[in-house]
Amino acid sequence: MFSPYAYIAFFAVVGTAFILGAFAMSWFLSPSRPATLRKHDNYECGETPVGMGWVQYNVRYYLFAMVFLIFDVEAIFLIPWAVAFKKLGYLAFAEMAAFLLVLLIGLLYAWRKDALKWV
Amino acid sequence: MFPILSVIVLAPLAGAAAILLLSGLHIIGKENQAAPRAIALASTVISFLGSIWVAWEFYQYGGGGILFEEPLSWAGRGGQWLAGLGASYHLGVNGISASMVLLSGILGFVAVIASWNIKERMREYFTLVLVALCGVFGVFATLDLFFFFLFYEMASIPMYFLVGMWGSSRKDEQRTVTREYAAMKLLLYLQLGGAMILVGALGMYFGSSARSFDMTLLARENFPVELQRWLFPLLFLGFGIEAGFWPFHTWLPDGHSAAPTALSMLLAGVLLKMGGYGMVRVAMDLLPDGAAWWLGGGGTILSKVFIFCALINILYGALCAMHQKDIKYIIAYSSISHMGIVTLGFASRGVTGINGAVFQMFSHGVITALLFALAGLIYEKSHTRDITQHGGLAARMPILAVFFYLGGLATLGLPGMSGFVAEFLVFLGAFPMYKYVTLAAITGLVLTATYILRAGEKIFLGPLNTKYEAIGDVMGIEKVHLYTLTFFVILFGLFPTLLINLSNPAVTPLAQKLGGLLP
Amino acid sequence: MSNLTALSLELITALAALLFLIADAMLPKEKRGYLGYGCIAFLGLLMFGALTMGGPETLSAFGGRIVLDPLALFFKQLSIAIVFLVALLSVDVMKKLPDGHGEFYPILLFILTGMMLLAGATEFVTIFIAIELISIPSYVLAGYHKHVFKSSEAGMKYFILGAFSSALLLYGMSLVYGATGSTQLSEISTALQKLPLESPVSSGFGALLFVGLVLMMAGFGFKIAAVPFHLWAPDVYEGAPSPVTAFLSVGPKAAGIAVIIRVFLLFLEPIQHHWAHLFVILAALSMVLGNLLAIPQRNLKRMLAYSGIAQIGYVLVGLVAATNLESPGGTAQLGISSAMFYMAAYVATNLAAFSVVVVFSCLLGKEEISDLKGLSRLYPGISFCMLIALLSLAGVPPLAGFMGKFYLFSAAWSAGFHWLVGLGVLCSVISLYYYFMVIRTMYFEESPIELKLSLTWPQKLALGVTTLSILFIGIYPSCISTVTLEAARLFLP
Repeated sequence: MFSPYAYIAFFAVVGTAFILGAFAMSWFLSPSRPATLRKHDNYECGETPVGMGWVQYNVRYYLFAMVFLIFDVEAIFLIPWAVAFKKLGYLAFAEMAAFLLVLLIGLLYAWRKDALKWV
Repeated sequence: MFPILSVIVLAPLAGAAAILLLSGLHIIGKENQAAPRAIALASTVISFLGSIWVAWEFYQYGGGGILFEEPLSWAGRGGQWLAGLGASYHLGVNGISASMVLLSGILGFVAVIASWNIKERMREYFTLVLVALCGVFGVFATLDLFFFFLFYEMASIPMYFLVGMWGSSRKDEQRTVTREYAAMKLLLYLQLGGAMILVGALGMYFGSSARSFDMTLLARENFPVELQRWLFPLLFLGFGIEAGFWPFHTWLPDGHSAAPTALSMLLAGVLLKMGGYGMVRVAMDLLPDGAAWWLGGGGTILSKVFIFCALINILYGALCAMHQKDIKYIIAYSSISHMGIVTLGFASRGVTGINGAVFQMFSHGVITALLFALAGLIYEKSHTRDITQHGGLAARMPILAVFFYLGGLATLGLPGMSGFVAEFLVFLGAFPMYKYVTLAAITGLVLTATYILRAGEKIFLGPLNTKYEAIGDVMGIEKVHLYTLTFFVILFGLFPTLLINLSNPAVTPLAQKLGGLLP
Repeated sequence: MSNLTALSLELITALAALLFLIADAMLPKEKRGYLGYGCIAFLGLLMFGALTMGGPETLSAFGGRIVLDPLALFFKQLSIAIVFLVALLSVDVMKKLPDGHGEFYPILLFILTGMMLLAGATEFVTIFIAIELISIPSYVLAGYHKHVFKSSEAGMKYFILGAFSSALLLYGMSLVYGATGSTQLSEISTALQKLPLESPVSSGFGALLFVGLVLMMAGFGFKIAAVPFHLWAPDVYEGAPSPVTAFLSVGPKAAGIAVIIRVFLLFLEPIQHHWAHLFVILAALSMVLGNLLAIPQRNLKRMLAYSGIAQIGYVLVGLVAATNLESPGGTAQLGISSAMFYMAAYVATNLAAFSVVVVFSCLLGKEEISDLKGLSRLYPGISFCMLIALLSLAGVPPLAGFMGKFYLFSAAWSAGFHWLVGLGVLCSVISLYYYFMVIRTMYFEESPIELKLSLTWPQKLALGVTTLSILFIGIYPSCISTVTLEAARLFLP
């Protein structure tokens, strides 16, 4: 038989070929239409963009995203813990409390530093 | 027993610490000249008297052993300085080191006298001089290779500052050498030598069964011949760089000439001797088989290399000295030439030759210091070091002229002066080993006569240069070091046994080990 | 129940970091300046506590994922000392910033947590977390002067290259995991002894392992700034705020050396023939290039960056000496001990040099070498500290740097790396040139302007502590070398 790595190599080759094949197919099959102005838009079927795409985004978007991420991850930890709460006992409770405390400090910090305020 | 060696070594360091401490506490102000000078003088006088005592005791003992041994185990587990490595503070002198300690004692004292008129940054100046002196004494007094290296660095690093901060730049049609350039060159060359010594020391340490840096233990160690042949040139050359060995001599004229007077005296008087001392005491004594092979006994062309370099040192140094106009360069190149004679003496491997070489180290140290002191005095009075700018100064400064001719004649080997004994012994010892080389080297003496007499003539003889109508002679304290140095030049010229009896008992077993000629 | 004593220092520090974070958020703006003094006081107490810990026994926690042995304790103490000194240097610099100086101390304490964790980590994931705990806050610190263009650039560069190197490290770890089936170092070590490793490349596992090792080495090499992974260092050092540069020049290096000792010398020891040569190359390249590239530098911080690269090359010589590549049954303990000793000497020395740089650059905004002209006349005390630091870096006896180099080269010689010792010694002769050029500027030249420097007590304390330790380690090296040798003996019995 082949070595286990041969399968990986096989997978890689087939995967690449599939993607290239898809592009090739669309190139062959799609009807050729000369490009219109509409076609060069950033979002072909969305809003018409205003101004350049390279503008600086307000840093608050990132702050919100980060704060959101923290609590998102918190949920991932909390749900399995809550499900197995009875089996895990008090040590796990203490650990989770510590975890939440750290997050709480983070929230506190974000709040005091006006990260939650949209100006 | 009274730890006399520790006192000699540590007195300058204590003086340096005292100056630093007192200026740190604002007791010695920036403008205070007297206090640093007095402290420096006191500590060097202690070392000077101590070194005379050591030399005298050794003279009376007259054996080949080690006196004044001071083993001292430092705190730390196993009495080791650095855990896992056997290095310990261990002092002691044999005959060769005793004479070198005496030399350093003399020169330390006269160097402070010669610095009497330093005006700028007195505190730093004397601190650095004293630290360097501690290093010099340490090198000659220690029996531990690790401390040997440590003291070696202590002696050479301050030289950088002394040359760079108090030195003088030279700018004339021949060359432009700034003091910073000279200082950096000196530093890099000396450290390159130091690096080679360090590698050699490590090689010996790990090649020894005792795993020790103790030179008394290492001397008993029978290193494999292969190892010795490999380590010997490394150490010999490492020390050789310090001793102005051709072709690594170029730092020497620049460094010596840029240095302030007292430092030129120290550099030529004792720093070169640290190199020479290391050659004989470390490289040859601890690696005798390697030394015998490399110094003419190996039978291949490689084993002649060092001897030819020594010959080139003698002749090339003398020829360069003839070409110079700057008086300090003349003396510096004459040092290169004379250190070649030392190397030739070592290379003869015989009792007479090595005795001569040790004698030459001592004698050259004193004579060159005298000449540099004179050069400094001449410069102080005439404000130029170019010999062609002078003329007829003997009329205005007779005492200085007399001292100059005394020193000059001692350099060219006039009987009755220490230089004669040294050179005679070296050539006597070297002749049976290398006839042609010795004959060629002796012509170097003629060249020496030429450049010394030329310098003397240009400066002191002839019609008086009208610029110097009002010039004065040496006076007061300036005479002290001239008299001191000349005293030793003549003393050991008339009674050479005083010195030879010191070194001979230590040299004889060494010559036996090297397979050289015995008397 | 895990033995939390093994983790006590980290827990306390992390807790303190959180407290400082809250304090920064809660305190009114004008009182936040006191946070720095609080941080200094805390670190002083922590240092005291860490020094009283000890004993030859090895504690372990979390199923052996974290240990507290003398080696770890040594590096923990060293880390605390580093951060303590950096905090001393930072206080007055951070006070001057218009805003946000309060975050500096929690960030510093988080880094300290990471460094201490790394010293005791014996499992890949823990190691990686610890490294990231050092790296990510370091990126922030490098860009801490956010209104200064160079600082932002430094932070960005450090971040991008650092993230890349972390990825390499993680990839290498995953490959080693793939080859050995465990992330626990002790289990990896056992697995390695069973593998047929005579022909590493032909067997699939060997190839995996080898690629993994090289990638890990690249990752660690980046953190300690060894050539050829050093390219970030000069730019980041130059751009980062001076106290941060002071930290970057010692902190990641100390932590990196700690983890390299543990991972490579202890647990990957069975296959050392496959990686030791690479370390020899790293050491030689770092020494040669670091020293040569330092020569043309005009900026003090860049010069010290290259000098730091060279210095890490010397430490790697010690690590190489701990392998028995040249002499079987050699002197591994001496090699480890000397590398640890050198690291301590380097920390004291480099922080002394950087104390002067911090005083200089943050009070005057100048960091060119030529700006030091005539410093010795105006400020003999400061220039004396700089002089001692530079002499020690150059390896002049009897200072700490010399003892360290001597110890390293002895270890390397006894391990049979004679040519590496020769190269190292030659490199240190080269290094004299650029260190002495700085000394020359300070001592030989006249100052064109009248300088006004006034030191605050934290700066004085930092300068004094570092300079005295350089002298003390140099004159009485046994105080550290007995500890390091003991640690090395317990580490590799």
